[in-house]
Amino acid sequence: MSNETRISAQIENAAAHLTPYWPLQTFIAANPLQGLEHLSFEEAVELGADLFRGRGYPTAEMARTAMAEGRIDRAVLTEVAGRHGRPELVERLTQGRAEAAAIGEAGEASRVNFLTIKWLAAFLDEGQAAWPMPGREKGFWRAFKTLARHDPSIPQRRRLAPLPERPLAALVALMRDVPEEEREAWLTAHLVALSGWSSYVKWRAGQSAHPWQRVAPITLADYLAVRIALAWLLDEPTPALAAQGTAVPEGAVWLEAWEESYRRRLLDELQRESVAGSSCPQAPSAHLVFCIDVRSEVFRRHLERIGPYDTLGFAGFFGIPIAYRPFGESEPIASCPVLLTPAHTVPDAPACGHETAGEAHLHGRRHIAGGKTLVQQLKESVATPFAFVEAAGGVFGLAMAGRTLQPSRFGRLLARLRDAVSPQASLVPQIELLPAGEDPEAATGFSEAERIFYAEAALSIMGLTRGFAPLVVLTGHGGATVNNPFASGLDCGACGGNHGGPNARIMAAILNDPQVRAGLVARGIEIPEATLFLAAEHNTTTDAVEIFDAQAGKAQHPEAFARLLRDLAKAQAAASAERCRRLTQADGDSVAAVAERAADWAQVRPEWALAKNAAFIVGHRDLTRRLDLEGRSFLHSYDWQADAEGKALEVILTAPMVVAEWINTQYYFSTVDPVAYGAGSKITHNVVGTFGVMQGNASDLMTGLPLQSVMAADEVPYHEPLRLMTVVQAPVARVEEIVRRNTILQTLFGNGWVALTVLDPETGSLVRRSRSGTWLPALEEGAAASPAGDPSGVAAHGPLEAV
Amino acid sequence: MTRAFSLTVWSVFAAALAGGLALWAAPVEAWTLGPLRLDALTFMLAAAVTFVSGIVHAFSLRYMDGAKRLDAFFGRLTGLTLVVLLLIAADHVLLFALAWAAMGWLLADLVGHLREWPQARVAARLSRAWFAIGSVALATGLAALAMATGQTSIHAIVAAAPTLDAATLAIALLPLVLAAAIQCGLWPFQGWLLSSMTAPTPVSAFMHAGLVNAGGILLARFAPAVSAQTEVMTLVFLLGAASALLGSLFALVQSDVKRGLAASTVAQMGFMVMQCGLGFYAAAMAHLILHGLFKASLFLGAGSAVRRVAPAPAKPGLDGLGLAIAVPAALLAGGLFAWVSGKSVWPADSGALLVVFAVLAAAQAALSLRAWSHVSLAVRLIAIPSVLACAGLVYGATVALAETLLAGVPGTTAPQPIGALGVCVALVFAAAWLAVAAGLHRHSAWLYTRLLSAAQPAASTVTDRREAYRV
Repeated sequence: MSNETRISAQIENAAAHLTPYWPLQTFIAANPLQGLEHLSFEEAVELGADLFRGRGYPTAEMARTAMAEGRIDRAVLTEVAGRHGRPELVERLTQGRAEAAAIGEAGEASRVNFLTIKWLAAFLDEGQAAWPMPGREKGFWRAFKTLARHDPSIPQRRRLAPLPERPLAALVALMRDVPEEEREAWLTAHLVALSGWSSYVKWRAGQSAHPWQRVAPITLADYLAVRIALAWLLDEPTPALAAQGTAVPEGAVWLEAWEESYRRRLLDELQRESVAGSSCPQAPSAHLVFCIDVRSEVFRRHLERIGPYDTLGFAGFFGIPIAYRPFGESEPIASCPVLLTPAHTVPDAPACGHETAGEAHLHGRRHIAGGKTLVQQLKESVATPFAFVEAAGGVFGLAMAGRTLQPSRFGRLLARLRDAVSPQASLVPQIELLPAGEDPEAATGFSEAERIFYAEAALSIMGLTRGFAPLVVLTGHGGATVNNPFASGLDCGACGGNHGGPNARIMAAILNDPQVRAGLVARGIEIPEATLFLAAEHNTTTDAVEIFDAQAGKAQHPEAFARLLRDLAKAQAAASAERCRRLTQADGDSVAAVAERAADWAQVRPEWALAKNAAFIVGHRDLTRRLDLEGRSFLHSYDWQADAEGKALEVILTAPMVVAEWINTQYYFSTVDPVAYGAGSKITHNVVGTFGVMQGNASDLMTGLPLQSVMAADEVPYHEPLRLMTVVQAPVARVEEIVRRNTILQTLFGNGWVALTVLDPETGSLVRRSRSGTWLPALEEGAAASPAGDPSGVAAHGPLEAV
Repeated sequence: MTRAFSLTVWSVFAAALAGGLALWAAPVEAWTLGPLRLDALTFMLAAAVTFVSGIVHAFSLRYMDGAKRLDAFFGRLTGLTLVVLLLIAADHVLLFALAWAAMGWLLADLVGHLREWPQARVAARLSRAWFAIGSVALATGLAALAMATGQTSIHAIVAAAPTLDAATLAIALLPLVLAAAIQCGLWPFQGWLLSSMTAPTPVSAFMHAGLVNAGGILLARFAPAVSAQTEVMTLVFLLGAASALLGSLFALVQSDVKRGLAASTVAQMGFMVMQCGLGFYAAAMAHLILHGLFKASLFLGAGSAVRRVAPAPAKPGLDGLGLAIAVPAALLAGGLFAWVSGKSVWPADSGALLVVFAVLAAAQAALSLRAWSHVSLAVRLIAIPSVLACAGLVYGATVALAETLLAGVPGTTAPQPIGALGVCVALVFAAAWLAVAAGLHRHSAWLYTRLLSAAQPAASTVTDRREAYRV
């Protein structure tokens, strides 16, 4: 094996510790310790402390508050602490006082980090700088090598010139003195020194289709070559990995007691509901399908209380792996979970007879784009910004006052202006297969067989195969916020951090297609002719639900549709009132108050998004309909009787549940350590390269969630850092079979990243799967997932016992 | 508590507007109240400062929600506003110097508002050190002027200053210019400004909209004195021109939004100081107010910098047709600006230089509008001159208005003869604009790297290790 191949493999191993970081344009939740999921949770957290200097458990202060608020049950804590042999921890929470936080020290400044940030931020830029780095197309290492000889802050920079042009060859030369067996650890240390930037490089290196990767290609080898060359020139020692080695962590005890307190309450309620009779309305006037997102639960609960509606939960991309191309755009947007690669491109185009309106819309958009370019160029050029600010400063001042003092009004005014310049046109997603010349890649839409396939898959996985109501509303979702770098974090994760409306519109069009319905009959799904599928989007910031094709609803089912609109408005009011109880500063008219937050450019907490998420419930709505789950549960509909082979359940557990785990761990770690695993406070964020944020003048790329997304105040957590518990309503044997078939599930359940509980409808039993694979009664004392200190819990894949 | 701060600021805003109107109607040039002297400049700046401050307060009430040490934050923000008001109303040199020093102290405090974050503390120390130098320089200059003229009130000093001999005046004025240059973050003193982004966003907005302006206010207050010393005027002019050019170039290469805005402030403050150096103090005041609105708005909106941008090939350079459309339209706009604002183009005085900048901006706008290929060429040929003519009129009217409002303030509009130096500077800017518009700069690896390196923040204020960051 050549030196270069060996180093390449060592880089890959070293980078396995890093979770790729998606750009903020499409915020994707991820476990910051994803690279360590093959370890038990406890081991991963400990290694994370060494690698990322991160804390992995709730602090005593968080636990103390949780206990004071009754969220940690004293009896449960006593039991858990006793099992770990740490009974004194109970007293620490009831009597202790807050420890003063250590004040940060700058420590020995790292010039290498400073210069790496400087060059990397300039190279990776995705459209912020008017003058991008010259020579970027050659790759990071070569571009750096060409330019660095002019950088007065790099000592001995002449020594760069003789180094090889190829990054791997350069690394071979630069690492000559590093003993073979130390290289991997050495490279790891260099990668985690700026873990955020490294994570972004790791993401971008894997995205050959990303337009900016084509303009400025970078690999981990490029990045390491630059970094290590700088360290060599500056003669700076390799950053040491911390070896903090947390002892039997008390945080693990608090975490477990907190989780147990929450879970027992929830499981108790679920068990009671499982034996109660069905609560489903006899003949619902509409079915509404929502995303599994925890925010849907609140709205569904209120809507079902208001009228005869049956709601379902399904991944918000509605099962179609698409790239959506908005009208008038050339680049499609991947609108499906990042686990999948888009298999179809679906463009939007003006509806029949609206072509002229479509043209007018595009014409207006070009005016707006041209205006933006004009302002941009006047601002950015040399000598022109001076007269520009004198001529236009007043307009900026008025807009600033409007945005700050009357956010809602100003937002409406802007929208009206935009509509006046570029009037909305009625659009229809083009679902039919449309070849585009010779290139099969450029074809858009679906073939008839594909449409039938996706329709059947979606309906059977969500368990809606009979008893269709006259109206079936597919409801995607998206957030509403302005001036917020993390805006896409409020959008639909299942749609790749985008609004879910397009997917809903496409799936509704598929399900209304007569050919598809005919094809479904052959597959045993008969949709009555009178049933109309409608597409809608749930605004998760304001709880407004917008129905896209209102004309069709009004025409076909005027009464039911009018009632639905009324009830959606009532549900919005009820959900807003509930929301206002959880937000500060929202008083008075709750609908107006939440709308104001959505339009407010000064708002750092437009909504709580998925904060407090803690459970993933797979089962029939009857199980949860009467419960108030407080917006903490992902709800996936599942009909165990219609899925004898467990195929649908397997999809649910290996796709949506895995995504829920990413979200859950992101919230968890961003809360327990908002600096190492979170993005820190928004008040000093500095957007870099259009895709990420730094702190202050410059820093590591701040991955994870901002503090304001998980904390009610700087030191007051809002999110409860609990690991996800999955509850499945299905026969235990079926669930066990699926776990055995899928390594990812063995990893997540066996290593304690997710807890698995099954409500067996055949036996009525409620059981948990221990990490070693044993099924135990879920609601008896000591039935918790294996505790941290218990070696049997750490052994990941113990023998599986039959039930 | 925090809302009370906000209310205070808006009350002063209303008072400033009312006071300004009352003064306009009154037969006097200013009202004197002990060590204070309220003239048109005071009211104009007070209205501008409290407007921005009021908005920053309102913004912060939501933006800072849940942050630690909120009372300290709002206390300093309001305190800073009041200190600036004191500064623009002060007539006694001692009061002026004290307000100046207090302003620096409070501002540095806000740069280091996050006290547990070491790099924020270092950034605050850096700002404080520069402000201290500026304050000492200011005190020295004021003391020298007071001793040389035997006066302690600013309006009396500036009235007497032109009678001083050139050398004495120069020695007294140079420290004032230094203080102004530091406060404005002019090259080569831009370091503290480019290292100040540890401050919460609203502080940056207020800093760039209000506090860096104090340098310009200082020059305007001493306008008759500065204008009386030709060498100092030339220095002010050159210092401003250098900053205007370098700041613009620094801004070109910034990949993070806040440093890009800070570099642009270096340029804008440079232009404003250059206007002072040309004798157009009133125009400079209009510039600092309008730039303040512009920059505060961009800082508060800095969260919008995450957006989808498609990589575009470097835009094509200039072509003959582009220039054929742009040049006449730009000359028309420049001519209208000159006419409305009363700037003399022929015989040329220093006002002609302002016209040059108006022409360059108009030419850029014409090139940009020419690229609207979705509009027919015929329409563009009519629209471009019309739009630019309107812009030239608005711009000219703005400057004329500022000069009219400040007519009662001594020495605020004092055109200078234009020398070879002025012509050179005009040519340099025109060449720089042409080179950038044609994309010539893109070929220079040397220029890029030098600009990237020169506009770095102080290394000790960069959070080089993630764990050092603290909320």
